[in-house]
Amino acid sequence: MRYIEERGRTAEEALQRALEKTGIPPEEAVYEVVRDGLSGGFALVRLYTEIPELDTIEQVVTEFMEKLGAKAEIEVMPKRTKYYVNIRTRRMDSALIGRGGKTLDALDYLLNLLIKRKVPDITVEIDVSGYKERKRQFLINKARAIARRVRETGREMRMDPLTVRESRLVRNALKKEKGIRTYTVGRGDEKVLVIAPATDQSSSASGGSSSD
Amino acid sequence: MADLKELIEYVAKALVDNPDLVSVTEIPGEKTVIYELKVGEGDLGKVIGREGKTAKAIRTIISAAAMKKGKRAVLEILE
Repeated sequence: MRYIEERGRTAEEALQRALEKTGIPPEEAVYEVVRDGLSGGFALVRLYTEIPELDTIEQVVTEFMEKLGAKAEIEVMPKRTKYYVNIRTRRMDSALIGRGGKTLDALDYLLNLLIKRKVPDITVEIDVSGYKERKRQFLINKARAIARRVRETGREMRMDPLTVRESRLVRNALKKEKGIRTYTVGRGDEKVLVIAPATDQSSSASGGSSSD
Repeated sequence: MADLKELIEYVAKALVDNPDLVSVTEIPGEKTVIYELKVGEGDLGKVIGREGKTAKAIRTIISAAAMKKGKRAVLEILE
């Protein structure tokens, strides 16, 4: 996988520069915003110039979707350690997601198996019309809203049961929130994430909270 | 239209070491379609997966696709 990185004041500007340098048309650009430059400093964009794995991923997913009878648009985006594959269909989205994302999980598992048989060391994250992204955002928003209430009331609150991955996502999102702390109760599948008021008045004094 | 027989065949052939020994038989019914999957001797584990995870994933997906047509799809893996 080859790429170039360009800086700019904004991500758009950095991308523009990278596109001009490589001569890649904007509609074909596969890129990643490494730094958005919004919180001061410069923006950094990574533009991929050559991604051999992309064709394999696209081919496997396309073939699979054809057999499933789904007219699908497939978008592949490189991320730090994996490829994010977003599948959009005309009328099959809800069937492909399934209740609580059950079918999507099966798709993710199976397509990873098929792709790994061809290129052993790559991992893909399958999504359908941004469902997982939306769910992640929903969870984060919900956790922040609960954190706000915990701060207001001074009482701890529980989140609904989360998977290990979801729990990690929520705890990361709440790291920078002041005046609260998180901990889990129970073990195994019964684990529940609790959002509680911070024990110390000054969160910087106690350990466990993030240092920033 | 979804061709589940082809889908199962495609997935199974991609997973096993002996694609030539893969065969899928479709047994149509009024509401339920049964798919019988046969693979080579050493390849059974490949289509079933650890703790049946692969077989379960295939079943979940064909069920979802069949449901779109108002049918049920059952996958039997034959030894």
